Amino acid sequence: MKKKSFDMGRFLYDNTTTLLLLAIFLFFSVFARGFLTIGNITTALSSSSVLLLISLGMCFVVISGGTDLSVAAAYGLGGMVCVLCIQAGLSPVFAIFLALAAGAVFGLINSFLILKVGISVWLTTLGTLFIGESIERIVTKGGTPIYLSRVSGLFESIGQGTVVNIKQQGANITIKSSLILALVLAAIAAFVLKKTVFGRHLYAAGLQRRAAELAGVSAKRCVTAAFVASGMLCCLGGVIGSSQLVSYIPVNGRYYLLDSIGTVFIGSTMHKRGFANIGGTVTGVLFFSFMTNGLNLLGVQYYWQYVIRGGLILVVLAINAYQRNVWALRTK
Amino acid sequence: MKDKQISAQLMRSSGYLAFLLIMIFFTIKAPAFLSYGNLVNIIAQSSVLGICGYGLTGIFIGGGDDVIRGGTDLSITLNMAVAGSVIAVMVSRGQPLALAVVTAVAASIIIEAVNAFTVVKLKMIPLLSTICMMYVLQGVERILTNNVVVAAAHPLLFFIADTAVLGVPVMAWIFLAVTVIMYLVFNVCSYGNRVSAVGGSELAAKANGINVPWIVTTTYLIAGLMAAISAVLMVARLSSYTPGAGDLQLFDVMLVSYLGAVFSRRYRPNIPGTFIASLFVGVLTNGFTLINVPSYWVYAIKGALILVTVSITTIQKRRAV
Repeated sequence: MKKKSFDMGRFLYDNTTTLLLLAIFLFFSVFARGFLTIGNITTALSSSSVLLLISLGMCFVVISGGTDLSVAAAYGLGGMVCVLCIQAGLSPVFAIFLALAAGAVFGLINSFLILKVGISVWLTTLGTLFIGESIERIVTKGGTPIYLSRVSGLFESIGQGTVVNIKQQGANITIKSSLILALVLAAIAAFVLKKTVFGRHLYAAGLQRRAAELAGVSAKRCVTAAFVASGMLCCLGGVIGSSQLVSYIPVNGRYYLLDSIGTVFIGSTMHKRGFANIGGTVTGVLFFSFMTNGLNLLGVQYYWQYVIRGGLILVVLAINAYQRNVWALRTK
Repeated sequence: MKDKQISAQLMRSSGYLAFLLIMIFFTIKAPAFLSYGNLVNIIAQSSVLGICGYGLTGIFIGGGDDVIRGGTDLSITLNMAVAGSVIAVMVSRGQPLALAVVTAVAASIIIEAVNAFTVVKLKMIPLLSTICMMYVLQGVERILTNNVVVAAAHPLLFFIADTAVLGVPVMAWIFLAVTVIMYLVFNVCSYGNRVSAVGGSELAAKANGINVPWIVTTTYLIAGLMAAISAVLMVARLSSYTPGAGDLQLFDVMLVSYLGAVFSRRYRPNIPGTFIASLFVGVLTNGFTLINVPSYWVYAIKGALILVTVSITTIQKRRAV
């Protein structure tokens, strides 16, 4: 009997975040009319692909022991390069390739400054955030959006293409291909982090860089790879974002910056030892998109949405931290 | 040998050198730059950024410099924004200014007390709990102002913004006074030593009988006070409060507090360094406006400057070790 109650405590402790998310989901299902329909849920999911991609990038960098403030700039640069190339008449495939290459270069610049020059991660990414955003402003002469007359080919399908599109009376089910793309990339990222040598090395490099190096891990290579992955994923996010808007809107990425930090760290509370991980990050993204969707359905004014969103995340994290502290005392 | 010493000395003072070079550049480009009026004006213009930066610097000093677990407060400029909107809204509704300021100070300190509670008691990662607070405050600011510019006209606010005493604007006097007080608190009093000790190593500080949770809490409360003071100056300068002012300034305040580390011998965040860094940023903004560089270039130049100055000092720091 005693053993059973112990297990219950352990279960609650391990799953606090999940249970709280479920509670919020249930709340919306009961009170927000039209929340719990397949149509609405697929819409909510489909709108979260960009945030998911950026959060994956952020997750890699957080695992490597840093925080990437420049994801906002990388997102913007990806969209900018792609849209400018398409405006110049290049083929969409080539434009997307160039955008991804720009992301890789951006990541390399970050990791060069951090590893070779030795600037702290915060300052480096803050600096590249400033520079990246001003490049966006300079190219667009102060921030005027670039509108495309139409999108075609791969560039259209990457953001607007649908895998499932059922329109019947009452039900309107769409699953965007961008969501599938993001989920596939998330699965690949989870596999790489969990099952490959590189993934284990990356965790080791993030936890104890010196110890990892002494154990023969090339920590520098791991950190570089994390930043390159982050840059490319964010640029892909930018491409998808501009494909969905059929235009490029400069300095639009900061919206995602804080959200992606939030999703990764909410995700890390789902890990037993508090490490950032892909499964948790995906759940964090779901949490964010369902919350936005649910609050919109409830008709909450958008000022209040900020308050409720921030408050709810704070409560989830605070309960989690409280549980963790209690547990730490009990097992001592 | 001697050459090496000279180059080391040059590297050590690279932050100051960059500052000097930029001053010379502006003086050549825009003769009006080096006039007394303009220089004093720069001090007044940097005051909001600087005072808010002191608050964040205090948190940095007490929180240590770990990338993720270190002390930080991403909600500080939103805190300033909320305080600013409280003042503007209350003044525009005819409440006395003193009451408005007291309410704003109380609000700011309560906000930071919540931050301190999550960081110290719940042991949450500061980066994370303050991001949540930032979201909340973004909403509160919009609710208070209804997302429109709130005009706040009051003789005392005009006095702060437009009057000069002994040839120096009142805003600059306030800035200098706050600088001196914060310098005394963090660099002269034993309190400052305790904060640095906590930031350096929490365990060692605890072993030496320092009340670590209380010290960390006080750095947050001081930050709240600083946010409120800078809010008063911000409202005074514009005679109004514009929603969204807090969102824009977050990265500038972070820049000033981090850049302060460059202007110190041990490359740690510190109050005098933050003062110089805020003047530096003020000079950049002012100078580029004088020589008609579009504002979107200024961000690029700011970013590049942080990277260049900081990389020179980090290389130097590594050599010293």
